[in-house]
Amino acid sequence: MDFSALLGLNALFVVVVVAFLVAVLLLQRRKLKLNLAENNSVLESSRRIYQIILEDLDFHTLVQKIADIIPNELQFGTGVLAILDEERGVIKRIAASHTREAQEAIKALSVPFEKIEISVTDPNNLMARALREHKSFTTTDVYDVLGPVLSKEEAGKIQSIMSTKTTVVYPIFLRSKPLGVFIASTKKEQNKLSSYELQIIDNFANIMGLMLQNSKLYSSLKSTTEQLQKANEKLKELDRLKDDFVSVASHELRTPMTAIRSYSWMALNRPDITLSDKMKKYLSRTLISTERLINLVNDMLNVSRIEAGRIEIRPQIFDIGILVDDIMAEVTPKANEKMVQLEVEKVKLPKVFADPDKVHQVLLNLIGNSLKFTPTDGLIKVNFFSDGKVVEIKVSDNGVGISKEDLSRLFQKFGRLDNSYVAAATSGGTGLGLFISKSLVELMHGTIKASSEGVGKGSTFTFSLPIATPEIVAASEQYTKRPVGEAKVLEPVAI
Amino acid sequence: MADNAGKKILIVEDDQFLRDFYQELLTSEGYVIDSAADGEIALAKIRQGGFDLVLLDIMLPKKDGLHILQDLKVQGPSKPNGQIVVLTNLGHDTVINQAFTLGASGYLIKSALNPDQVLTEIKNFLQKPNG
Repeated sequence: MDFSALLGLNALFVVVVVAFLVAVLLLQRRKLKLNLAENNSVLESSRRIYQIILEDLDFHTLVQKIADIIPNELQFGTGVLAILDEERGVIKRIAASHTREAQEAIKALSVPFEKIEISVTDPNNLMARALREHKSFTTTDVYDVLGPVLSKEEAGKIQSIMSTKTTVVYPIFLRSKPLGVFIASTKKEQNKLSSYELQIIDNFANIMGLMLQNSKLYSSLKSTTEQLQKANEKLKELDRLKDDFVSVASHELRTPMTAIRSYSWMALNRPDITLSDKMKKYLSRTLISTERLINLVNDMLNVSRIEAGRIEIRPQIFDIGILVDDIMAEVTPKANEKMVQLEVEKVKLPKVFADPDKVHQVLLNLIGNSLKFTPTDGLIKVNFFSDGKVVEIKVSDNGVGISKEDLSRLFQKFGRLDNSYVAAATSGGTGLGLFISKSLVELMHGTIKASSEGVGKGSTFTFSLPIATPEIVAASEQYTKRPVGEAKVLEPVAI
Repeated sequence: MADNAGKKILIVEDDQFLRDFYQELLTSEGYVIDSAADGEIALAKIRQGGFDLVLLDIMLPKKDGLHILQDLKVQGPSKPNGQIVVLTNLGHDTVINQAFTLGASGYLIKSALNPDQVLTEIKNFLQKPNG
């Protein structure tokens, strides 16, 4: 071999070696690239899977998504989710992927899909074993996951419809608590499953427990909410029935009371009837007591409506002075009858922002009270005060007054005072008027208070209402109260 | 009393004591009174017509006051009537609102009024033009 030949051979060798090295390097690079791509896909798939936990909590939707994940991500023919029914000790299929293979297999089943229940104690079924042994299995025969509910022959038929060669079986656990089993089948041979595919399934199996648990909690929360809603509907219905009952009962009560009231009034007032003094006294007591009974029914209806939130507050801008004048005109006959003098302060007032009907009710109640507790020749005064934010309306009299200890319970229901019982009995009071007034004033963002120098020294009731400033009118929504259910009007105040 | 004389009022009231009472009260004031104790009789009488005022109870046997008002919308009276005023002990808001929509022109809560007040109200309704 001459030198040149040797050189040529050498050169050839070098070329071959270099070419080999280049080829190895290129292959290596491709492999690296492939690995990167695979890793990337694993991450992508995992991201999509994890997202499901966040996005959908409805149990029904979630189990369907779980069944569809592996077919979607890895082009598996079928995905099936089964959950453990602990009470009955069976593994129950609850969702199958929306793939053609799965749907056709389900159609061909002799037993309905959701009736394929596998006993957890079954010695051979891989679903049962996966749960018991806490590990995953891979099989080439779907009978391993369908038997013994389906026969070997039927399982074979199903497998040929699905045309799958490999089935993976994964138990689903959450903190060592068995929840169910996931099965997925593919056309690929077992040894053709890439590490990438196995990694995705593995990742998925690890978080399925968490997914199921979340949605189960959510489902039970949802069913509790539904139960509460039903209970609420029922209560509303009962409330409506109660309303009907109260309204019918009060109607039924008022009919005979009206007859007593009317006939005793007639007996007392017909000019063609002469009565002894005793008869007059008896009849007038009958009349007063009946009026009181009627007022009591009205006030109890009012209290129940206020407490049930049935009262609507619709604020308007109005002149409180004009309203007071109207009420004075209304009570003048009664005041004249009792020979009590009425006096209203004449002063220019800013307009208030309140519900005129409710203010009417309050004023009538306060002035009515003063009339009840002020003897003949007494005086009832209405004064006003304004600080730019509220108008205060002060109703004062020089009547029977209130003792210090009684002042504190004046605004409670039936908070009326023992020592004025006689006055109450002859006046037709109910013991609810001040409670109602306080409730109404407070619903209109006002305050109410009572004061008295003591028994025999008269009483003063003061309540406030917001002035209709632009700010307050702009915030009218805050001053409006919508009724709970159907709005109710208050029964009239009797004076 | 003179201007009351001859004015025809129909009292629709199922409670006998109250029916008798209003009849006596209004007759003594010179009104001419007819009465009905249930909803069907009431509807028939209102449809005959010719009343200056109808006092209509709401809770009635056979046909309640609201149904009477509804039926009157379908088939009115042969002779015109004056106003129909609901005379009730129901303080039920929706009922009263419904009565207004159905053509009642006022309402009186029986238990809230003494007989003299009832008379005043009736006089007022008779003087008002038929709305």
